[in-house]
Amino acid sequence: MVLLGVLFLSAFLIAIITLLITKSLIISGAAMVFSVGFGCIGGLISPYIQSWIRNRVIEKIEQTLLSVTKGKKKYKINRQRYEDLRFTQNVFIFQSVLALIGAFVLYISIYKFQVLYLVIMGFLIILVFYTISYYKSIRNDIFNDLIDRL
Amino acid sequence: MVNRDEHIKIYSVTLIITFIISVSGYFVYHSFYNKSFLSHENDSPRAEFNMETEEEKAKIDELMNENNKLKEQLVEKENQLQQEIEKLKQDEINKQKELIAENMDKLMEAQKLFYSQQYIQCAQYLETIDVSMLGENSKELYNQLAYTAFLQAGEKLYFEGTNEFKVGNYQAAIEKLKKSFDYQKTQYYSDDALYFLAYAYYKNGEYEKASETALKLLQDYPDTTYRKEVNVLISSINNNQQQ
Repeated sequence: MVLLGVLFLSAFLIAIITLLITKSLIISGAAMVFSVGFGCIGGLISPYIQSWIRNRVIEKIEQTLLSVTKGKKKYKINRQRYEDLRFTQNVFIFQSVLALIGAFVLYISIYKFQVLYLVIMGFLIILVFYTISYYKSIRNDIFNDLIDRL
Repeated sequence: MVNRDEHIKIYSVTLIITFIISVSGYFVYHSFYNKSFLSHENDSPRAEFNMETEEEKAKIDELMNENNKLKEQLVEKENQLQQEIEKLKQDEINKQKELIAENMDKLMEAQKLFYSQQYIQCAQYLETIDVSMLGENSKELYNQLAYTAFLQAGEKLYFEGTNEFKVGNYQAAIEKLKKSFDYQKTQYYSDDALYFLAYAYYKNGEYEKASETALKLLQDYPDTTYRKEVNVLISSINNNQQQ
């Protein structure tokens, strides 16, 4: 619920900025709706992305351990333990960036400025880079936890 | 502890609600817009506002089109102007080149005449040359030629002019003496040339010119040996003018 509140706050902020720039209540309202809609999509897909990345990391670690024991001993890492790993952070980033993308999609549909496509491309590139760094940080977290428990 | 299922449920519900709000909002706006546009009802202030907006939009489009057309015309005119400027520049360059070539030709001709000792013709050619169009070397050549040619031509024209005067050919004498004086003003015969010129004018019936020339002689050459003769000439001119 807190994350959803943050999303609404972000969308409200976007709507205010839009209102200041365009001086149109209709466009700012539409920007808020678009931001909330796209942000919700981001909030919805982020848990699946998180669990997919987490599973990939755990599978890789398990494979590494299996190769270390030359297939003699199979380690099974408890997936439940890392279920909530960096969950809130992931949702926050995804929903915020997608909320911004939503607002820019609306601006493109209204003003048809070519440069806005580049802005959206920039946001998508940021998301890709974030996902890569997110993968690395999750891997480090799991490694550190495993080492602590040894 | 995060409840993933609950999170997904909340976000799904919010997304659906947002979707419903956006779709219904779009339809409400669209129907309202269409109604006001098609019915032409200006009863409600909202409808009037939409009408105005539509009219304004059409006006803006029209003005934008006009603006674009004007911009295109401006670009076209600018290009034309640029082309004309280029053409004019080229013409000017060609003209300059032609003038330089013409002056050089004249200088060459003058040089030829100079070497064949035809100083009067040489001086006439040199007179027509525009010195500012010549280069450094050509100017030097011009100065060398001009010094001797004008000196020689002045003297020659003086003698020819006085001879013409003596035989009573006053018109020819006027032309030659005038030229002689134009070429040389500081030579021993310059005041003589001016005296004979004044006399030739007098004889030719051009009293005003004769008077002017005589006065000029007295003014520019106060030590002239013709002072007495000039005074006599002036009084004769005055007498003739009074008559």
